[in-house]
Amino acid sequence: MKEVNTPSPAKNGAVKATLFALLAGVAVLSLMVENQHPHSWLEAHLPFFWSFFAFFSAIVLIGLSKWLAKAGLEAPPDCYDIPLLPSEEES
Amino acid sequence: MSIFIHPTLILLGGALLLPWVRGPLRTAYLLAVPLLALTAVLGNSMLNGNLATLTYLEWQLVFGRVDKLSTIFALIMALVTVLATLYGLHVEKNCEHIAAWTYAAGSLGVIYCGDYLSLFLFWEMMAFSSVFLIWFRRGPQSLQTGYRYLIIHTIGGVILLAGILLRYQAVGDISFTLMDIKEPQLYTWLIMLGFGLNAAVVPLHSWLPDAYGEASFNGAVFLCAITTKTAVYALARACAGMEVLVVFGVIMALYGLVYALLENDIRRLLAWSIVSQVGYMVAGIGIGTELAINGAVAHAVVHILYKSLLFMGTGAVLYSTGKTKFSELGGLYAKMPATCGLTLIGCLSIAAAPCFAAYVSKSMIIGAGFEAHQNWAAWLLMFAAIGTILYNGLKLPYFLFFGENRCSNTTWNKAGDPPLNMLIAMTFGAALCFLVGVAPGFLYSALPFATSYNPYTAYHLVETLQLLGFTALAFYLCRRLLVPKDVVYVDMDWIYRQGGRAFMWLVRHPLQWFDWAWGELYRSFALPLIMLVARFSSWFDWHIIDGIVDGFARTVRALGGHLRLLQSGRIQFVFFQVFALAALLLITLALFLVY
Repeated sequence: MKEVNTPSPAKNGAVKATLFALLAGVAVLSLMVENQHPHSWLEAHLPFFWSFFAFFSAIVLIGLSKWLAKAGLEAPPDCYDIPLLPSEEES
Repeated sequence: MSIFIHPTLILLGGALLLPWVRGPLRTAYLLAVPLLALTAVLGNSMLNGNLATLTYLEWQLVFGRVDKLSTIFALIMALVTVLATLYGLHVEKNCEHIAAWTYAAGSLGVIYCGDYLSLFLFWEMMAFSSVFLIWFRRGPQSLQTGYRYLIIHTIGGVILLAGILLRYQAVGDISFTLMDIKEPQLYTWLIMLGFGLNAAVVPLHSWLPDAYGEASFNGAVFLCAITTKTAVYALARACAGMEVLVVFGVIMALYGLVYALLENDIRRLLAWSIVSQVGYMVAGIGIGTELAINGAVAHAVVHILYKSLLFMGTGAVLYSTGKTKFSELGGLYAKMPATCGLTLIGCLSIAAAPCFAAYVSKSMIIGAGFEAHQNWAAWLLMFAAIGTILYNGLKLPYFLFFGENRCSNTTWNKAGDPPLNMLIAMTFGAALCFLVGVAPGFLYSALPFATSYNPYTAYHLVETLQLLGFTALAFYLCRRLLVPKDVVYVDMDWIYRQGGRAFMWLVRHPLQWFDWAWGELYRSFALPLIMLVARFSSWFDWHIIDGIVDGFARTVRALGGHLRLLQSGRIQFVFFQVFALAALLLITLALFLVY
């Protein structure tokens, strides 16, 4: 049977809280480290630059890929077997 | 004093003898051959220069060019051959091992060769042996996929050969060295395209997800490591600094990640990931500075390590469940804990997490981009790095081992960690990914150029942790959008696959109709005309030609009959002939005198 032991909601919540705390810790840590060779003005002056960069890049990538899928990349699994021309069905 | 021992000969010799090795010795033999090849490569690394040369006609063939670039690639190829053979140790069919070893032998041949003639020989050896690793899956699509793979690589081989021949005509030289990239000629582009096709440069890349997703569970481990990285080596050797490669590389990095984000098949996802990751290497080669080349080479090495580990992990899923689609899998951590743990190390490695493989290499290429003032390329590669974390660091493990369980009861019951040899190979792979991540010194010392690069600066560490953490946050918030669907995502292969079908339609319909019409025309008009001409010819032959020839023959025979009487030997005929001749002479004389 397909039975998987899932963690209890309380345990789940604790894990989530820990991860969010770690995330916040990393963001705060970034304020304490000086970059001696910034590659852009934003990187030099915007606090949490790489946090924003990562978050928004990921959102853009997910949105872009979904949009491209809807725009025509997505096709049924048998798309390569669908006849191109009516007479192909006979063969 | 050391001598150069070509590992290609060891692998080919081992493959040749394998069918005769049976019984308990076979397992030891399967391990010994690639280990011997690795030992030979280690021994060769002590040498330097052009070794194992052969003069053929007017050319000097070099089978053993040993320098830092060839040594590091040969080492990693030999190492992955050991790991992949160990992973498939329980495969009973000799032909699968023979194909894999021949493929690896071809790659080592390319890496050590110093001329284009032997390069082409080994290049084709790779193409024609690796196709068997696809066919040996023996799935419903394997045969067709294999033929597509073979056709594309044959076309690539022809392009490469055309470049080699044109170059030889232009410069009278077959040495495999850095081309004149400042003034590229037609042959420069052709050679670059020939290498680029094997590196899966977009738009010549579609063969890769098509083939690697369809390969056998152990064949894919060889495939993921060898073809593209051998091409990266060839590009680094011949095309370093070609700026167009930066553009190609960035396009590859972005193009591959979009498809990997969408993909429903776990191994096709990894194949798309190869397109994206090789993009970093191609871009590094295009940037062409010492740091960039070092970065490209280092990334190729660690990529082979983590990608083979990931293909081993997903191969274990395929091996135990027979399934490769996310839409038919999920929640497997409970049934395959060891596979899950080891695959996670591969995921962390490709995501460039601190202490894992790509952390020490990817930033070299991006840093080299900034250093060479190719800022647009460096930022786009950084952007693509976020995609890598998304599709390989998060999507693959989440939807395969965690997330919703979409397994059927049969799949779930079959799921389980693979045999011991597969687990050992994965453990070695994972250990190497970790070792190279925490102690990159050995890797850096083996790179083509001396480097003082240090990835473990506080800023780089915190930057990477932010990238990982906040990409994970975005994934967590958008994870429902990334649930894989049982669909396919059409790619450039649509053009040639549908082109092939259009060609078949053309053959089956208009061409076949023309063939039929031509046949009918022939039967109705041409055939009676030919018969008429034949009948006339027969009559003419019989009555005219034969009449003349036969009449002549009859006349000669009759004359012969009469003459025979004169030669009968009877005295009265002799007298008759003499007197007749004398009379004839007298008459002739008389006539002469009278007139």
